[in-house]
Amino acid sequence: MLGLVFFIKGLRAGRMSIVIPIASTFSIILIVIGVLFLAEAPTSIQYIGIAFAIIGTAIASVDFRQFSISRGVLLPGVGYGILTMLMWGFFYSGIGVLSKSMSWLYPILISTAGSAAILLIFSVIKRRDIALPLHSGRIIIFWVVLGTAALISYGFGADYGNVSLLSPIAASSVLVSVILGIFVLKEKPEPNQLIGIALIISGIIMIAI
Amino acid sequence: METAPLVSILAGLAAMLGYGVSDFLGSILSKREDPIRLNIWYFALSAAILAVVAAIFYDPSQLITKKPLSLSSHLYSACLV
Repeated sequence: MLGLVFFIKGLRAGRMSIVIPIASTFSIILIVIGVLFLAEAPTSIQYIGIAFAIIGTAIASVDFRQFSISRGVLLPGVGYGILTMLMWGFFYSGIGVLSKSMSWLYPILISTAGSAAILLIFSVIKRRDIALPLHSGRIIIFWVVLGTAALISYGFGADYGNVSLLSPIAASSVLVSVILGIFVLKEKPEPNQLIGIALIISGIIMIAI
Repeated sequence: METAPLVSILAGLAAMLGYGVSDFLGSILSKREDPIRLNIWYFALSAAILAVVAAIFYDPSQLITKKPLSLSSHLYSACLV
């Protein structure tokens, strides 16, 4: 949950084009954990594929139109982006490490229920409105079901597979978001997004070889 | 291909698809709703789904006894919150 807090603070303090690319590189931490602590050994081609997927994710997330405004100074939100990367890296590597000694479902269930409880207590103390926004109910249900299904897939993969191969693919979700933006919202893709998508797809193919 | 890399790739692709569509819907929702309120409901409903999955597919005694657990494992789980 701290990762989410830092992420939101980063978006408020800085720019989406800075915070998201930095945060999206959290799978680097998972690969280091997987190789050092879980004795995983990707092949040379898979290492190149992992690098392609991570770099592609970062490139596809950058909005260079905003990036060019503050050239030469430490951009607002960089610190929060790094903290988000570390928190998300810690969270997902924690699932990977714990899944080797217990069911993958246990840490996910504890962290999800705990996050709900902390946010609920915070909202009650701050007297915030916590009613379910019913007019957005259908989208919220889809949002939750798909996000939870993704978390279950990650946990299952961490338990029965290799964290170092799983995490860069799972973290490349920007690929799907950009494609949905193009086809559903009729957004025109930026050149860097197309380059990022090409790198991610190439990376996934190399990991799968 | 060995089983572990194949499972990793298939699970990774499923997670990528789920997170991608979920992030897309989340970005639409965050433009019109309070993010704290949204996240309370996200985590609460997600925990409910996970509890149902646990109840259907796991014997409660097996949920945390894949191997004997140390206190540090429980503390590490708590830290993930």
